[in-house]
Amino acid sequence: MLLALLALLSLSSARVADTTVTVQRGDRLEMSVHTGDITIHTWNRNVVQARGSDGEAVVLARHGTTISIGSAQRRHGGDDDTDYEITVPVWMDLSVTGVNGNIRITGSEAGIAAQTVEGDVVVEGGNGVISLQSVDGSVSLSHGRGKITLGSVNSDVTVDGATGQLAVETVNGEIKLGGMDSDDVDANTVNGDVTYDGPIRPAGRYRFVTHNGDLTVSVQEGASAVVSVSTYQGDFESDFPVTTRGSVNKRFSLTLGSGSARLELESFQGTIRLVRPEGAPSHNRSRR
Amino acid sequence: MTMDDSWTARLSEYLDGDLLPAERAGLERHLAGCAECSRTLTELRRVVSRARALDDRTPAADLWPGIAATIGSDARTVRPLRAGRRRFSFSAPQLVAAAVLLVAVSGGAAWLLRVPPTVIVAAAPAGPGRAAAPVMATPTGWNRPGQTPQQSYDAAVADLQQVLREGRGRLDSTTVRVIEKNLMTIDSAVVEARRALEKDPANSYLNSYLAHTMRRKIDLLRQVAALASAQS
Repeated sequence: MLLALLALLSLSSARVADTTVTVQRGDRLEMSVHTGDITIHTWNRNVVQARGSDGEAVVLARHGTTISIGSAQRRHGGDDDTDYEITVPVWMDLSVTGVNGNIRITGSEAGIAAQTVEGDVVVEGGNGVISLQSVDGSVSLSHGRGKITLGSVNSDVTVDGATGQLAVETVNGEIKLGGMDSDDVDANTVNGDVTYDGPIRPAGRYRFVTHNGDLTVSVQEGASAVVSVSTYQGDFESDFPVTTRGSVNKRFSLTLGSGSARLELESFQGTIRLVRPEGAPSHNRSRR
Repeated sequence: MTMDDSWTARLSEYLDGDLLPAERAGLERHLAGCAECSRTLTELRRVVSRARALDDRTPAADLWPGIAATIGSDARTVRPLRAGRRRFSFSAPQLVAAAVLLVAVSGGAAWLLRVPPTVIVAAAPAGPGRAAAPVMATPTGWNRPGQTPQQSYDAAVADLQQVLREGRGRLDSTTVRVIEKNLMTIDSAVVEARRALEKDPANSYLNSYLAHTMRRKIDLLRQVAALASAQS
């Protein structure tokens, strides 16, 4: 991949646009950095502007509808160790890959693919296909819309406001989903808690799984869902009265309203809690 | 294009016919000008074709009596709940892993790329005071001819770990430690689920949970194999 970018930069040398390049709708940004942080802001101009840290020269190249960014140092065979600060149009799709470094994107209204190995991924905005991944860093999304996939291996995944389809996964980390508006959510971790705060939509599908952790899921008054609860050594608690059925080895279900949505809750050895949304009054607690 | 081309991640949806007409048209325009995506699509078609040629395997027969006894069902009522077309969805890293596996481990490992089916083997019929409840099996999706599910799973893990060992030198030592730690976390969960299942073999939750957790390990190994490949 790095070789491909080098080749691209080399082939495009005649079209190097210094640190800014004019773009049009349909163009997209692709960049791949080995070491260094990538920070991307947005504006309403049809221009991409890039700056490297410590005065490092940055190369912007166009190949068809793709704008690529790299350091001049790497282009000449040197080490790639540059932090980037980039400004792009709000509409521009972004594809950003790092190895050692953080990725931070704010204000985008387009699709985003961002992944790093050692570093955090923090995104505010995004609209369309959004895929954020880190191996050894946290992943955080706020105010994203669309088909959203978030994954870490060794850290937390946090959402603060998202609309659309959401799939979240980590191994050693918590999953905190707040301000959600979705009818399709799948979140699972092995070693961490899972928290969900958002309305349960009619006909929606929600699945939350953990091994060593608690599940806390908010269920609004008047929600309509079949709730399946499964645990082995854990407990179940509800902030409001519920009637369960089919209890076999701590696997049971309960129906809220007409049971339109499907809510699957699994914790091998943690506590599964149904709560009212923050600010709503809680009533008699039931526990089994 | 590079492997982080956002269209790459949509190729699987394209093959499955899941793209909207406008997205499909956009991807086809992209394919016309992107040799790498075209090659990847060809490779993916080959992988899917080979995976589809594999036999669907029924769950271990000896599970059912225990499950049936617990849910009070007649074993003869066993019926699949879902018999739709098998789907094969791959993320971009999995595409890379697919390529790595096909090349490095040859045809013998192609079956690894199957998305193990969520095998719903039976449904307890509804009865007075009891709703119909799906019952799930242990992870039989990895079955190899002549092997138990456990042997098949172990072989799958071993194959992927071999791919990983070959690519280990391309990963940072910190990353390797993190991955090993997380593989151990999953292993611990598998061990706990397996022990629980030994004590309670008819527990349908434990059956499905064990399968889910074992899949997590395969998924993580595939992800890491792809990562190592991408950094070559």
